[in-house]
Amino acid sequence: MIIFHTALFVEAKPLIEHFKLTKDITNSSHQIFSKDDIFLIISGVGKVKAATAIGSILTKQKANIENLILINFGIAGSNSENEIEKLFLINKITDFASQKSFYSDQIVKSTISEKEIITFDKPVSKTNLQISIDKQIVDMESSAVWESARVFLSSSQIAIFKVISDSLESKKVNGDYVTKLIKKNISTIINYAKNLEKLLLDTYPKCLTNEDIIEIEKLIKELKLSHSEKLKLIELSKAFKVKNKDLSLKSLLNQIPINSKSLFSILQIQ
Amino acid sequence: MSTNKIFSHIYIEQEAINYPDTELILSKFKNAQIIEINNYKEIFNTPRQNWRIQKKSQKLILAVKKAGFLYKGTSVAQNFKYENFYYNSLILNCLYDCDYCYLQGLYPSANAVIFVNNQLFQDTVEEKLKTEIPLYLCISYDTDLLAFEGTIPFCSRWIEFARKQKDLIIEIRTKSANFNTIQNIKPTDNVILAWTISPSSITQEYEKLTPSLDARIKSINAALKKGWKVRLCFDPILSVKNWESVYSEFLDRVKRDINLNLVSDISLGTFRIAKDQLKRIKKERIDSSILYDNFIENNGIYQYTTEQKEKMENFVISKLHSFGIQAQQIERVEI
Repeated sequence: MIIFHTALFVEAKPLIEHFKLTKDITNSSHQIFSKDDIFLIISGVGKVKAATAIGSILTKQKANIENLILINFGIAGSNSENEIEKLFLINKITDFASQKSFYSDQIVKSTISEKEIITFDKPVSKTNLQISIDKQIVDMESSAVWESARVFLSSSQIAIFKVISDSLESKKVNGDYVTKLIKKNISTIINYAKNLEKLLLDTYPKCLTNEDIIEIEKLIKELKLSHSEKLKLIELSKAFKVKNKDLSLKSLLNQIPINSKSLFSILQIQ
Repeated sequence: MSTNKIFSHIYIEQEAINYPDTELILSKFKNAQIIEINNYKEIFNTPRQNWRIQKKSQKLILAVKKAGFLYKGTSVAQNFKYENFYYNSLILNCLYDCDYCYLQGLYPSANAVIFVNNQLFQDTVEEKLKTEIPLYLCISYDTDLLAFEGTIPFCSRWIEFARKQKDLIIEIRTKSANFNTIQNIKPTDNVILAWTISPSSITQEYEKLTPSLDARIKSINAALKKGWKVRLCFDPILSVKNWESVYSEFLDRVKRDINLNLVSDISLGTFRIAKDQLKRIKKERIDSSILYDNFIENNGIYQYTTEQKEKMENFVISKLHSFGIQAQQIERVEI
């Protein structure tokens, strides 16, 4: 599962069109779009809105939390005119208010240039910038996205992309221009997201199949197992599967009389 | 889908930037992306990191150690009957990826940390030598120092340090085949090069990224030829399928290819691990059969049943006796 997050609809538009996502009209607090295992949430501008949106969608996906990745993308500002319209993968995020920094894992190989970002509480321009920035870019959501996502996810499950839309002049950026910038880079972002998802799924293959889980749940019910017995059964079932890769848990369990003592001893000796 | 190369990114504490070792290490990774950090703990110690994923593209962190330059040894490691048994952590984490490695359960991150203020570690040992002698020190404890020698020559430095300290005995434990990186250094009697070796089938299956048994034996023989004190470590001995024939063939191979008369001593121990560490490792490494044995708990340490442990250790010991190795040359782990 891939969850995308943007602050603005004009940033999200190319992704909606690419995947032909449809809007979830049942959700009133945020704009959520989805199709199959692809989700998109649009939060609005700023740290609080971003953190709320991320917290909300990840809470809903708690059952899938180990198998999903979160991608934030959007526009950012840079001090350098030369970086306008360029796409960057963020490797360090600093929250200007708290001065806390966060680091992404950067495991997937990519040709996208990397950059550090500073997240501000308010819009900044060259005239009101309180610090000198030379190697960083700036935005208003990244630190909040990272901090709220990290409550649920590992550092390997999150990636942030920024396209430079302005050079910190006070001018308002046109929405169509933002969409155009994102559209130009959306395939690269999606490709990276899919590679990251594949890396996650390949690294942590499921030990128990759906058939195994059904069998375990059936036994828990039939034998009225306590919580600790349930955990023991899951642990022993995993051990059985790891040690007997080609054997089916169902075929083994079907051979034994149904009582918890024989169940645990047969699993233990396998 | 490919991943970034090892040490594609190097994170450097601001305080570590001006240390000569930082400059030395960076000169070896000219294409690495450099990212400044405030403190190594803000990246290394954060919760919810995916060890297995990080191991696919391990990063390097350069830091300045502030405290904890010398630790008292634990019961899980051999002390070779030295009362003053210490270890230090010059580097956190390892380049190898062994299924059974306790570091996976000890550290939240798979990334490697090199402390660039190495001199302070040596100063601390010098200070300790004023009150506790002889002092037995493992310097390759939470890492494999010889494997890192091409990146940072800590082994060479500590060998030279030990040469000047007559009451210090240093053990450098390794699975590396990097003896060539220290081959031009004159051996000294108070440094023991301790090679962990395992049957080839175990190395291939459970000691990923490590050099082959052949390569390690070549390094061992080169060290013996130069006159180094060499210890062989059969640790951990694993209860794999047909372990008797696996270890029997392995020990015959060791006898055939290494002149055991030149080996200083042999240490051995069956697989053991702290209960909490195993729990954490199993969450990350869900497909390794050696982690799912029927262990028993003894003082917070999981190990094979006493019967199994005795059977395996006695098997190896009696085989070693049959090669003419004396009992006093063999050190068993006692927990």
